[in-house]
Formats: sequence, structure tokens, C-alpha cells
Amino acid sequence: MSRLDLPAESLPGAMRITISGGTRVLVEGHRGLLEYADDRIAAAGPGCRILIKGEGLGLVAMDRQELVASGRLWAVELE
Amino acid sequence: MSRGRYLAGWVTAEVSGAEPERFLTALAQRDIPFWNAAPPKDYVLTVCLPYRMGKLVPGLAKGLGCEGRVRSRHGLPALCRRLRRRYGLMACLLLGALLLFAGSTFVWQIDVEGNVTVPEGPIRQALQECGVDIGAFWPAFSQDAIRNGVILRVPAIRWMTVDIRGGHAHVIVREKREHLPVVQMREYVKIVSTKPALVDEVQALHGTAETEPGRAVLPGETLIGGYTTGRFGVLGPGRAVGRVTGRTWYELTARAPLTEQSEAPAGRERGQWALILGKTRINFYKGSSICPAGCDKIIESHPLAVKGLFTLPIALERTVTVPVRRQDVPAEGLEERLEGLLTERLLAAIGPEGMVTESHFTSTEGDGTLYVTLRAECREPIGAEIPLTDADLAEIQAKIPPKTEDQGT
Repeated sequence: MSRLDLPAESLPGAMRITISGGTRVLVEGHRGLLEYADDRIAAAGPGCRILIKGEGLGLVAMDRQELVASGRLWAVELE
Repeated sequence: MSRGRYLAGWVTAEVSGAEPERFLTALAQRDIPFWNAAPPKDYVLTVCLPYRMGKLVPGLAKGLGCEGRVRSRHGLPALCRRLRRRYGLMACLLLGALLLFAGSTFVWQIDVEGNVTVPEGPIRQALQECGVDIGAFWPAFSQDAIRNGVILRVPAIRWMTVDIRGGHAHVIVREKREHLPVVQMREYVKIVSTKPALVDEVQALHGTAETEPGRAVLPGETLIGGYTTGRFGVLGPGRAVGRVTGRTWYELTARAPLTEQSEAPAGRERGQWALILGKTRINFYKGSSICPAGCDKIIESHPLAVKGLFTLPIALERTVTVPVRRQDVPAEGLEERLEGLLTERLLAAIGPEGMVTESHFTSTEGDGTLYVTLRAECREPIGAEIPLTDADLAEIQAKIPPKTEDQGT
């Protein structure tokens, strides 16, 4: 990948996280929901764990590829 | 909640277990839409799903080691599910719908609009004679037959149609237009004054002007003569055409008593209820509803209707009879009312082409009566056409000079 200098998001199965305005986060390429609470939402990613921390968090929409959460975001961590 | 979601219905599922979040993942992996997924509390997760997915909840939850159940059902399918064993209610709803449909095929209310000069009574009479009446079966109506019948019976109507919406017949009529009179130039006519005035302007288009601005005229005085003149004098009789405007003065008086009679309640009111079914009236009281002397009668009608949609021919009517006593009270706003009345009379007297140039009111009281006087100066057309009499014709003939050799043949 690095030799060909291709952008990571162009590869199949790659994960992408988009944060909009500090209140909305879109996770593309997740592998399922692991944790769901008012202050944290955890989802499985390809070889990692995505942890969304915040306040008044809620799951807006979710399908097998994408997940949208909203609320007051504090941090998005990869573990 | 959208209308589509209500029609399709939805369920609120409740999943309890060690990790109920996995239920959401399972839904997503199976492409089952969900919404209002609240964070789990005490290991219990609630989420809304489409109605048809409700039956999958227990099995799906069991596969994840949780316990799942449908907590509540919503929307139209849930309503039908609740009603499916209530046969009596379903039968009543069906019967009601059938009655509503059957009732809407009959005319229960008729409104006439579009008539300006033709009264509503003759139009309704003609409609009744053509079959458009309360209780008539409107699908049998023929627009052409009704239109022809009504126009034959009321000649002042040019066109009409009957628009029916759920038992409510809107009759729209258009009246014939008045054609402007055709001026017959062969008629011998002169223009005379209709009221005393000071002539302000004379426009003689045909005929001979016999007055001029600044002259005072009396009623009946000739303003434009019915004859034509040339270089050698009067040529012969003809038609006077023109317009004469004059200044006129009015003094109008109106009077009215300073007190007027008013009615005040003088006892307990009595209410009587009745049920109106089409043209049938069922009284829920004994005796008559005729109001005795010294009483006021107020009728309140409450029709069974949905405003703007339909009106059924069923109504509850309440007749309230209130004993009243008459008493003299000072008339309020009497002077303003009389002034308004005098202004109306003045405007009617000068016509639409006249104008009031100056006016003022004076009022006096005497013998318990208020007198209001309007004095006004106006500018208005003062001429009116009248045919020439034999005496006029003889006078005109006498004015025609004998022909000389200079005039030729």
C-alpha cells in the first residue's frame, strides 16, 4: 500500500471516521457494536476498537457498514 | 411520526441480557432498520423496529444469549390486531361507513351563489321543480336538463351549474347582463332639467343648447332643444344628445325619539330540544314551541357534520324561550345614525355620477325628539330625455325660415 502510495480509504475494508461539528461522528467499515451507554459508545473495527467518549450520546443510525452517533463529543480513541 | 410509518406500523422491542448491544449489531447485519435505540439500563435495551420484524425479536435475542420480547405494538396494523375479535364494533364501523356513503348520495343542503339581482327564492323554486331538492338522489341528476329547466323558469339567468360535494349542492348561477340602450337618432327628444339648479357645464352633442353656464333653471325647463340649427336658422326637429351638469342644493331633515325601547330578560329561560332527520322533526317536549307574547325565541342548531367535509341531515335543535320586558332607554349614537341615514339619502338623490362639494349637519332637540338637518351643495347631471310633444314640433316648424333663392334647392 505504501509502495503504491494509494490512499488508505480507497482499499476495501478500510475504516474511516468522520467527526462533524463536535456533535456527530460517522464510523464507516465497523465490525459491530461492543458497548453502548450515555457517555461511551464502542465499536469493533478491523484489528482495533473504536471508543467514542462524550455526553448524552445516542445511536442515530446503524447498518452493517456504517454507524452514526450523536451527542456532545469529548474524544474518539482507537485501542 | 410520519403517515407512512403509522400505516406500516412498528413495535418497541425489549432485549435483556449480558450484552444487549449485540442485538443492535445483529439487526444491522441483517439489514433490519431500527430507531430510538436507547442506551441499555440495568442490562435492558429498548429499540423500535418495523411491525413485521416483531416476530423475529425473541429468536434473534435468544441466539445472542439474551431474552427478547415485543413490549408494545403501534400503528395501523396494531389497531387492526386489537379490533380483529371485536365483531360488533367492526360491524358498526362498517355500517356507519355504508350509511355515510349512502347518505352522501342524497342532497341534504343547497346553497345558491352568484345571483345579484335575481332573488334566491325563485331560483330555489325552479330547482325544486327540476328535481333538485332536499333528499333528492343526486347521481340521477342531469346537468343539462336542470340548466335548461331553471333557465326556462327564471329568464334572468344566463347560465348555471350544480356542483355536488358529499350531499352538499352548490348551485352557481350567472345572470344576464343588461345591454346598453341603443340611441335612436330618428326619435325626436329634448333634454329638460329634473331639478332646480345653477347650470355649470353644457355639452350639447346633438340638438341646440338652450341654456348656458351660470343660468338658473327650474324643473322641466328645456336644457338642450330637440332641433338642429344651421346658417339660416332652425333646420328641423331632431334628437337632443348631451350632458348638462349643474350645482344643486339640498336640505334634508331626519328625526327620531331620544329614547328607544329595549328588551331585558324578565324570568327564567326555557329550553326545548328536538331532533331533525332530513325533513322530519321529532320533538322531545310536550306542547308547542310557539313563542307567547312578551318572549324572545332563540334557535340553536347543532348539525352532525365535519366542517368542510360533509354535513349529515341529522341535527339537534334547541329552542330557547326567554320572557322579556320592554323598557325605554336613551338611544345611543342616535345623532350619528341619523347623519348616516341623511348621507345615504343624499347620495341616492344625486346618483352615482353626482358629487357632494360641501355639506354640514345641524341638530336640535325638542319634545323628546332629535332633529338632524343636512345642508349640502352638490354637482350632478341635471338633464333627462323626454320625447317632443306635438306642441313642441309645431313650435319648431314655426321657427323654420322659408326657403329663399340664395339657399338653392
